[in-house]
Amino acid sequence: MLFWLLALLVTAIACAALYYAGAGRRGNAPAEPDESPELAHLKQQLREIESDAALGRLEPAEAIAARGEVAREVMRVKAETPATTGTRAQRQLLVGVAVAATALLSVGVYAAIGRPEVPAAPLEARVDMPPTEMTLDAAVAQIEKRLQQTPDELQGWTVIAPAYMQLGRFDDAAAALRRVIALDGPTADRETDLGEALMLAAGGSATGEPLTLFESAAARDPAHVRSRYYIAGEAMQRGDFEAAKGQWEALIALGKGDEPWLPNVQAGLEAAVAALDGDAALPDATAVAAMVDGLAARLAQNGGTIEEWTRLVRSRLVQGQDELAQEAYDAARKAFPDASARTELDVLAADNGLVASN
Amino acid sequence: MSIELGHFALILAFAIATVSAVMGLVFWKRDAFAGYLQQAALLQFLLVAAAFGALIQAFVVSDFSLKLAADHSFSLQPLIYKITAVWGNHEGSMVLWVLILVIMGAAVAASGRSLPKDLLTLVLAMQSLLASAFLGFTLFTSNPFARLVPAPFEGQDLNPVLQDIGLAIHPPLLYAGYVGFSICFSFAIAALISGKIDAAWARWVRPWTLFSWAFLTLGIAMGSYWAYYELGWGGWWFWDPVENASFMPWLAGTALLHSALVMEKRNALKIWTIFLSIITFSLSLLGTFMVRSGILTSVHTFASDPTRGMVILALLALFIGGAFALFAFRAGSLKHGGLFAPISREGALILNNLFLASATAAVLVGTLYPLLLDALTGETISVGAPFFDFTFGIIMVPLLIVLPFGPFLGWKRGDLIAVTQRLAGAAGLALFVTILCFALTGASISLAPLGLLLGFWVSFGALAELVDRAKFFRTDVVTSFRRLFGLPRTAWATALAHLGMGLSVIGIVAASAWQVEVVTTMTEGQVSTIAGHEVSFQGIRHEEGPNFTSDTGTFSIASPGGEVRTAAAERRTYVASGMPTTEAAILTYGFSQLYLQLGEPQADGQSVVRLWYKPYVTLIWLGCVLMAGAGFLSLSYRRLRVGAPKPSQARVAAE
Repeated sequence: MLFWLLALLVTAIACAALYYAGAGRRGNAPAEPDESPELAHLKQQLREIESDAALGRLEPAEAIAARGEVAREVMRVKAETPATTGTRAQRQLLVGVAVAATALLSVGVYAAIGRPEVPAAPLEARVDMPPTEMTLDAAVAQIEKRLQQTPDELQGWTVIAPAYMQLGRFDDAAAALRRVIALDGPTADRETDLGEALMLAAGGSATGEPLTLFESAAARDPAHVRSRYYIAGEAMQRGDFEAAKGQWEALIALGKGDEPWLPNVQAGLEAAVAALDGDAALPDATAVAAMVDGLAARLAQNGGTIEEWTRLVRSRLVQGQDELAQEAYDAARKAFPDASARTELDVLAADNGLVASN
Repeated sequence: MSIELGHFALILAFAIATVSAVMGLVFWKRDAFAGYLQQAALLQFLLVAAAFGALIQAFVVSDFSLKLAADHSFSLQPLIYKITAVWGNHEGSMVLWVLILVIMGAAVAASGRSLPKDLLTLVLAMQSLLASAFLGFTLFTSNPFARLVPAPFEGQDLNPVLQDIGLAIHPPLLYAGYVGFSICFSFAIAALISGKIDAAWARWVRPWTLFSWAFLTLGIAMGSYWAYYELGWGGWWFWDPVENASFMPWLAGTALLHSALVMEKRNALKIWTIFLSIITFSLSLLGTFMVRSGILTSVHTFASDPTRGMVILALLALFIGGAFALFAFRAGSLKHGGLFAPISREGALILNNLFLASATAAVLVGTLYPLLLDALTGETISVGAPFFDFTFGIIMVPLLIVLPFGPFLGWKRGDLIAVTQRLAGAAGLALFVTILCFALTGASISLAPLGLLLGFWVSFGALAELVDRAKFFRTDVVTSFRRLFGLPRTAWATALAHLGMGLSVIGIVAASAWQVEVVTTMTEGQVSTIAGHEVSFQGIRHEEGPNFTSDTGTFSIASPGGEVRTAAAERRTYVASGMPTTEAAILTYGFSQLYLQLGEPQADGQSVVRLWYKPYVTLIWLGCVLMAGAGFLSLSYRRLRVGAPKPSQARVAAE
């Protein structure tokens, strides 16, 4: 509303100025022929010739020739007839129409292509956006900007690394974590985080640097569960079930009995033992299938923890129900959009060829 | 809200321009509407300036709800580049172009009292028509005020090559030059419509010609120097189509400058002057818009889409075609001017015009031929520097040879033999200095000495005119000095402009013929020698800029004189775009320059370093600055100029 007031005010001022200049009384009387700019110009030329001749810049003969040329021009200009101007009423009508057309054209064009409702959004305003309205992208961009100016700020790198993980920018996360370790030294958690980021960046494989990092973390803190878990998982991948069995057992020994990860570890131990025994003394297949279907139904209806989703996906895979596994994986991704929370699930999915589609 | 008010202001300016163009062109015979058009010109200026201010404001506060700012700015850019980013893109530069156009219109309106009313009405109507057409083009095909909802958090940064002080200077200068010629164009069209053209007309046009020409000269020189130091290959002119596009109006404008001179002083060459006014501005339009139509690609190309290209071509066809049609239709009805003998100042200026026009045609052919061939037959050829160097050289050499004769010849009829005698001193001096240069440097036999001779000839010939007019060696020294400083500023301007031309020629010849180039790999502590300068590499360090990171190589250079300086050449990577640029290190020794460029680091830790020694290269641009300065000097002198004719010998004897 204020915008339109101002816009119309500007239009009104401009139109008034135009109308006054075009149809007002001021300065529109036809000029006397003697005062025409052409004649004034020629008269000035004559004066210049006189002064040049007086100063000796022109030879007398040259001055005479020059004066003669100018005099011929003066006669030509005086012979021209002065232009006509219409009556004042005619002018008022014409200028009035012109001014009205101007106002209509400007307002019409603006109404067609203008966006008066869009507010300004300068940097200041965008930085001060309340956090709920700020998207993760905006927050990350803001921290990135700060880190460019103060690249040694530990706090910033510590905050941005999980944000990168959540956005699926694993390479950036790894770089940020390396920066954290360089600035403040390694801890078991930091090494494990970096290992996770590298592993996900490599499509789920822990071979190479990630495994080294996990081992270093486990050595640094023997009671560190996450690193040991990945070490056990990697041993299973390699087919080194003996080592895996040892790791799983050590993990179980670390637990008090009610940790959310214990069931998964126990399942891992069972799988390792079964692989070592060659033939699996598995529970009755139909009972297992019923159990899994029950879990799926419960998760679909009431939701559950990420560990439960992971268990469901793993069970579907074990039973060879790849399509159902994919379905469960999709649902889990929907339920847990934060990539950092489902690291294990993503690794499992990647290892078994499930697609992160949505 | 300031963005939308700016948008409205631009639209209002468009509406005012459109309506006043119609009013002026329909009712130009009624003197009464001159006041309306003057007011309209003033309002257009205020409104477009307000719109431009709104754009600058949005860029400065990084308001990325303005699409233009989001696309071409970045919140970390230094303030100066936030401002220059406004015109570092197609839409914003259109607004700058129109802003300069309406500034010129307002200036004509403000000085309108001394103009006949019908001429004033027609000129302002033409300016309004141009403003209306290009504002319409801007608003409807490339609106700088387009918005983005929601505003992105960060912008996409200005092209790193453009993040340079050059962008603050080059486009405004160049546009002032291009657009200034629009006034000459409008005056020419006004003369054709009204059928009235006389010496007074030339007096009103000439300052605009001088003004535009001086700005165009500076703009081109600045662009050339910018390309020289920023693009990092040490060249200063590439015959790139866009450079040619700015060079053609300069050549035509130089011709116009000289023919307007004849017209103001002698009331001759009227039709030709009109023709040149049209040509010059047409070439300016071509220069501004060829790069935006999508038919060319170069550093200057803006992202373009087909609609835009078609509209631009249609507008160009309308203005250029319309002007020439009007010219063909009306030129016959104009009154012819004064007569003169072939050997006279007028004759010399015509010769100048012929050479400049041929040079313009040669450049035009070289620039457009490949495009036409590609469009018609699909065959791609490239017309490169050899073609231009050859044809342009062939045309320019005789022009430069006869250049010193012009100012010595009398108006209406001249005496070539007497002039030759008076120039003998300058010729002898030029020859002597050239031989001296070669004796001292022991340079080999090539075309270069002839080029140098030409440069000295033009320079000394220009000075000889001052010496001659002050009557040095013909009267006592005190009188001569008094005469020298009593000479009208226009005489000084002529001599300085021609001297500037000569200096540029010397610079071009010296820098092309005796440039030394060394490409090598260096490790820290290594020394390499170029033209007597010992360049030692001090190593590379990593640095953080405001919105880029750079690898900076430091060099210390010992000149033959024993002086030691340090220089830093950079390889930058810009954060937002990830684009790399090189920043050359340039050291100036007298008029010569040492140019260092840091290349890619090699696997073995060595760095590629390119070194150039360019003798007297700065003379190229100093000459241009001198020429432009001469233009302003002449502009500051507003006494009327009457070219007094030399009376024929018979009549003098009779009197």
